[in-house]
Amino acid sequence: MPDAGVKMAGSAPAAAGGGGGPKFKRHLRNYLLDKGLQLRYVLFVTVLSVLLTGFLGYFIYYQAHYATAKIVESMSDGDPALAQWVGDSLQSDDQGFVLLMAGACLGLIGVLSLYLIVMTHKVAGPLYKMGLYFDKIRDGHLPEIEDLRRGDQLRDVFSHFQEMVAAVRVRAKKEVVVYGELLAACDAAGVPSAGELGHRLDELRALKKSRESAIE
Amino acid sequence: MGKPPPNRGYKRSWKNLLINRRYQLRFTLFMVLVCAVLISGLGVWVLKRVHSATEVSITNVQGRPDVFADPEQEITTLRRRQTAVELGLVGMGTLICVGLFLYGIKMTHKVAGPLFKVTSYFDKVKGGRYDQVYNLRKGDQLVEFYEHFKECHAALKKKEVEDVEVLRALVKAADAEGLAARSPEVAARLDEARALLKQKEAGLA
Repeated sequence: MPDAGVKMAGSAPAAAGGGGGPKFKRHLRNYLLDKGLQLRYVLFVTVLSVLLTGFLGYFIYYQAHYATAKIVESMSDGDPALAQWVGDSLQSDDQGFVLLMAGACLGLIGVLSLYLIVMTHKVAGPLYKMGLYFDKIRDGHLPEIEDLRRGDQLRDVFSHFQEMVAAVRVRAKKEVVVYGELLAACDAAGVPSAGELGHRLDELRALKKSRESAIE
Repeated sequence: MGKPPPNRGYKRSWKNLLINRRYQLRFTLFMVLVCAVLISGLGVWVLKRVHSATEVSITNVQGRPDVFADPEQEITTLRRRQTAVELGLVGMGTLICVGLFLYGIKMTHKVAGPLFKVTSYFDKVKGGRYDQVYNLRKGDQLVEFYEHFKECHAALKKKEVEDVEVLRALVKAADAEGLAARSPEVAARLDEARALLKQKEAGLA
């Protein structure tokens, strides 16, 4: 399954993201977040189901058809019309079982596909959400991370992500305090804003502002 | 774009296929269980059907021995075919369940691997360390997700590098101009900035 990564951009409504967006509700249309990956799973279970029921159907056909042939053969010296009727009846019965097996195959495909789509959605959902947060962090924000929805998978991974962002936010807040206090002390001590030191203090001021806006 | 970070010489092996046991086993065992239940249910039904067809046919052969050249041979053939069906069913069921289990574990491993990697980077960043992010292994899933993470990690690291540059230049200018001598308060705050710089440098080392 090459390059079947969980697609982020444009593959699910933006409401799935975190950070103060509207509550994301599970809808059937949202169950195909990464169609490539999920349809590959469906293809896999289809092949598996066809193999499984195909073998079972073949086993029935293998023996039942042979047994029917023997019964018809045993009637070969009797009434040909009766032998024909019995043969047709038994063969129709055999075919009925094969059709039933085809029905079981479709049922299996349906159940397993639904399960895989739901399971991959429960994995794809948190990954999609993290992906949106990644983009926010890349763009210079340090948002507070909302919890996952009930029933979502990958809670361990997500909680590590939450802890990471929380730690980075704490450090950013601390930096704002350290920078702010140094700048205030320099202002109180009358450090001139001109010259090399003044320029460096201006840079620090810009850095503080950037940190403040990141954790807003 | 610089040279892409290399892959570490990590090879897949059956020993470390179970990275995230809970997720991998849950995902895989459900499929195996559904298949096992279905194979068992349908298998029993198939066996009953085959058994019934065989018995009817044998009774028929026994009732009309004159029609068949070798009735005993016919009965033996019917029984042998029934045994073949029974063995085939058990073999097929076992093969599908074992195959499905291995496939499921391998399939989920390709998702669990990148997640394990990302989680370890989360923990490092949480501890203030911004290591080099290595590429995924060939065949791993979540490529796009991982690329997003790499961009996010690169942005965080870039910020740290910028912080270090600004603080280093500030400390240098402060030392050159004797900023600490201006007041005890400035000296104390400058020391805090120095400590912060040291911490950030250690995280990037």
